Amino acid sequence: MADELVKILDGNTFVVSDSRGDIEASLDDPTGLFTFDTRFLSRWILTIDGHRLNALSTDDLQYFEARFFLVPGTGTVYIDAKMSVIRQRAVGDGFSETISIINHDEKPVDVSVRLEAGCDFADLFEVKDKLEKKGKYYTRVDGNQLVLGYERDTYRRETAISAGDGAHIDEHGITYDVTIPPKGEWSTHLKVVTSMVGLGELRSSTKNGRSDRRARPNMERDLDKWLADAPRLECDWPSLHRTYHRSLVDLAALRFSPVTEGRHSLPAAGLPWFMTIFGRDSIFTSLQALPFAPELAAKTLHVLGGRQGTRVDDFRDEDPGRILHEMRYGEMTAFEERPHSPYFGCADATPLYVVLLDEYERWTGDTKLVRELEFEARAALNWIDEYADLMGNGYISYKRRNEETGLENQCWKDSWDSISNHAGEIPGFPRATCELQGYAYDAKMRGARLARDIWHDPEFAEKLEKDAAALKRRFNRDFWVEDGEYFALALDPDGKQVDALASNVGHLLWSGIVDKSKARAIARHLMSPRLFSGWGVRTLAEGEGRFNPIGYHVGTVWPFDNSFIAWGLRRYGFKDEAATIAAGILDAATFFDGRLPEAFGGYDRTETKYPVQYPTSCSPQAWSTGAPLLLLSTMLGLQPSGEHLVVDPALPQQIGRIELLDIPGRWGRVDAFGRGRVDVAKKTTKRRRPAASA
Amino acid sequence: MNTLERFIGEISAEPQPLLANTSGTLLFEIRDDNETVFALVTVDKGRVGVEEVPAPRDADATIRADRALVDAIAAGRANAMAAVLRGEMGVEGDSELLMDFQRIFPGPDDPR
Repeated sequence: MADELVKILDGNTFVVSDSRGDIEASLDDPTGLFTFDTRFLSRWILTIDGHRLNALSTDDLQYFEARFFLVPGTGTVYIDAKMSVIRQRAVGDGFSETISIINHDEKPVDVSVRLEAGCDFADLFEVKDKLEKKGKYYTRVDGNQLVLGYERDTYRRETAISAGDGAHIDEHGITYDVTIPPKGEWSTHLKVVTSMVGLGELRSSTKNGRSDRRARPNMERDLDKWLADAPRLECDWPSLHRTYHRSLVDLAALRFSPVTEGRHSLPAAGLPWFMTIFGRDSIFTSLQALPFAPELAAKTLHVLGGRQGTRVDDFRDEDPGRILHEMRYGEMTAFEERPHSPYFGCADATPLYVVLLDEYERWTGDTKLVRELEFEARAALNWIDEYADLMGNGYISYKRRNEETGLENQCWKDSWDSISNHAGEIPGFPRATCELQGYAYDAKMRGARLARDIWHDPEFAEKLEKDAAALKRRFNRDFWVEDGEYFALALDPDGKQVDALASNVGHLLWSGIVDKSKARAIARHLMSPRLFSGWGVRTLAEGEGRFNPIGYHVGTVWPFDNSFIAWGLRRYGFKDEAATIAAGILDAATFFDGRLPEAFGGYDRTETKYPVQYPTSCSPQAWSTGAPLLLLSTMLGLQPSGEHLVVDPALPQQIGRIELLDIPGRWGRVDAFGRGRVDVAKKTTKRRRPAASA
Repeated sequence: MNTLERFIGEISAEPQPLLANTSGTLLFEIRDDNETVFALVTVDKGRVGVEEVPAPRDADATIRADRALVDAIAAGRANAMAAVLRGEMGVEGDSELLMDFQRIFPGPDDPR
């Protein structure tokens, strides 16, 4: 009965079970209770008189809470309806669970209720890569507690399960032998608490503290406040409403406080593999959410600035000024079998850090933070020239120094085969992908504004602008594929063009590095049937050597990618094209009940009629959750201008009337209104393909 | 003089830009064979100082570890975050302060 998985989460603690609430994890599947990249419960099975239960229904009450309605009976035919079982579970610092059994009969009933518990303490990396453990397990019965533990040298992790009164505890679980009166009810409360033993107060902290009964009202209040603080959306299209609400709730769920950053919470990347800080993901998500929840950006800037690289460390691919790629807390990181403490192998987060700082100030007017982070922003700008130009040609390129466990592709398309030429050949290293140059250009331009207006350093501003202008000139010459009229995906180690056509050209529009004269050709490519599927822009164009509509970065459609492409189209004045992309992605969201997955298949919309979810994609995922937000603000043409918010809507027809009320910013709160007028069917070029013969 | 104290002594003359937004006290309880040394580090918006104190005292963060590990971290041969996750270095109190502070140490592959 491994049907639909039920996931509840809070920050980086999450529980994934089957629809009965049971957990029965094998090494390589990501079910169980996880916190800080470690599985703290891999077995959690409820039986009554030795029999498993059947699920009637499941309620996801809140993102952090679920309720399972169950009945006894082993067969699929006979269900004993004389008893109902309700399991209610809330995640917190671990989780708490209440089990209630209702006797519908007119006679009393004796039952033996048992919860079997066990844990493999797997590091998520081990789950992902199917690796074996190196330490020792132990179990201990401690009063009314069952303690499961794991130890390797000084490394210890424990799960303590506290049972209610009347429990018999053994090393494999907890049993209650109870008599339930006629028409009566019995219930018990269990608490599962995780700990990283020996770390003193450095323990798993969620946004709202411990998983005791107090935590729940706090979490509800926190979510209510989060939703109340966000702008209110009124519109004629009900599914957009649902998508908007879903996005806000999921973003709230994905916020977490890194173990050592008690004061700040920022978005984790995505469930189940990436419930941790990612430099790139946190920055992109904060940019998407700026008009809705600007405090996310402030926290991201704080935390990433505080963890910015300061030294040269080849194992971690760290350099001074570099913004981290990924932080992990599991056993393999602890023993330096993985470099994620943190790992810095990422070439885009550093320029994007400066982009976010500037965009944040434009929206909020928070010059104090910009002054506070001046050192970090300058170090990031310095990294671009001093450490990232591996080929000495004035372009950011990447090549890992940790050749064993470092990342090969240090751009957002980080799978092994994501960067290839038209023939499908994969270039050597270093690689200079095109969007990195766009981000560098944008970082320099924005850095110049901050230097002039806020740091009062006009000389530095001038130098940055001069560098940016030179970069733009070089880029438009070196990356431009003359006969195809687009920008090459990358330059190889010899400076030769890696000439595949990919969605990266959309990010170039966003960065502003594209010469005006070349922008129309890029917009045309983005809306052409080779790239635009009808739902969105594919990561790689049809007809490229490695194109595959279900290839992770070589043909699927990524909602996050599309939200920035739409922003880029707007930046160059292609309003209707941006609206077309927004309409496609928001249409797709309705098929996922408002929760866009990380990626979906790049099949033509007319072929599949619905978007096909990529098999192992993460959901919810922060930057997919942020995509509808950025699409909304892009369609409405929201743009800060001095102390004002400019609204310049260009909306697809099907949206009808739309109002976004109480948009926060340096202007206080303002409203935006619009009406759908763009006929999106006109903006895509029709596919010409021979008619199928019978 | 040990590596941690010597390192801090050397940088205490100049304000450290990496710690410009950081203030607080860190008590290092350093075990060395059979004695424990208490080194109290003060960070005040970039100014860093260290003094040996005779007995433990209140600090924003208290850090417990062996001398060999502390010196390896101060010399850039070991990583503080991994040591904390491993349980080889214990932290009580404001662990973020330790994470901020350890950034001033050199890296294993810094040009020397």
